[in-house]
Amino acid sequence: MDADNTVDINCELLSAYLDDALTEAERTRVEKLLRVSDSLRRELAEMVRVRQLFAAWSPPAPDRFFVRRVDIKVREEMAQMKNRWGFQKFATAAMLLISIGSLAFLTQRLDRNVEPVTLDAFLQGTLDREVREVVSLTEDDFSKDRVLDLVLSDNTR
Amino acid sequence: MRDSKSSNFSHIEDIQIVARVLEGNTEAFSVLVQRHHERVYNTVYSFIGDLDEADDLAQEAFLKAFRALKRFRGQSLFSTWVHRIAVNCCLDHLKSRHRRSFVSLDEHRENWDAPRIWVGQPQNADVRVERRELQEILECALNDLSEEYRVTFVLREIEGLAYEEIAELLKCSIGTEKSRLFRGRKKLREILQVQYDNWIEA
Repeated sequence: MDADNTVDINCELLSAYLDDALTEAERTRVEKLLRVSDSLRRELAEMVRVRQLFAAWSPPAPDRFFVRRVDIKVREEMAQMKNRWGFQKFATAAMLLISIGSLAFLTQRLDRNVEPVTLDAFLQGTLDREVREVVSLTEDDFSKDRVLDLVLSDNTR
Repeated sequence: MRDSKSSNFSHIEDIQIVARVLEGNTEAFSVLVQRHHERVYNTVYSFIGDLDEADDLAQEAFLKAFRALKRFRGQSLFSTWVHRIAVNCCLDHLKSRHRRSFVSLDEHRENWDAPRIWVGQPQNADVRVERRELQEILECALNDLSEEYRVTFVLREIEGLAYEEIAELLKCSIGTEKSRLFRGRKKLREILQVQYDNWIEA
């Protein structure tokens, strides 16, 4: 270890000594060194001076409108939060409505699917429009049996 | 308006005001800002060294505090909590900025002409001017420190944080921090000495 490094390490300890952040053993070592070294004592004195100077330093104060500016930003933030909350409520309600609608539709479809489609029902007009459309498109070209097959196969898809 | 608002809350602890804000009285938050803005601003300025940026960052710190208010449990003082938020804002800002174009040393030298005159002729200078000049001298010296030294120095010397707290904030070991602090102090001394010759010893 060369002399410069030794000085640096000692000064590093000195800096921590100034902050009272040394172990007992380190502190004893530093105090011992301080008793014999003029340069270390000088170093410590200069560190103390720098500290004293900065203790007197006061950063500039904020201008008198600072609080007002923060107030405005907080209000803007609140307004944004409300908007976000409003949109979230709307989106949730819309999602809920869509879910309920879909569920109702599916339930209806499911009920219809399990219901046997009979020729009587067909003739009595109880089948839905979709089925009727299939029938109307095909009744000229196919026999009733074929139509019934188509209806049944559509309902079991 | 503000005065009446402040006086309404003058005998109320910060933690109670926080509770009111959380209950929906958001106007009460400005009382907290009123109480703590100077220290927050000073801290931010110490880190950043620029009035406009410090203003923006201090505002941002309060906004972050407002957004995070629900998470404030009162385990520390509100002032400590908001102050910590401000420090973190500064550290994030410095990270993202990557050492902005602080006024260069040469520019500082131009600005330091006045202090040099004052050093030579203190008996002729007005006390207030002297004080302002001293502030400028220190500020310039601080601005000339590298970012890592400046941050460590400010946290220790200006903010008075313990080594453990600084290490935690900066996510470094105490050994690293001790070393940075020592080197920062040394550098500051060198800067001050270079600019003012025997000023430190005077």
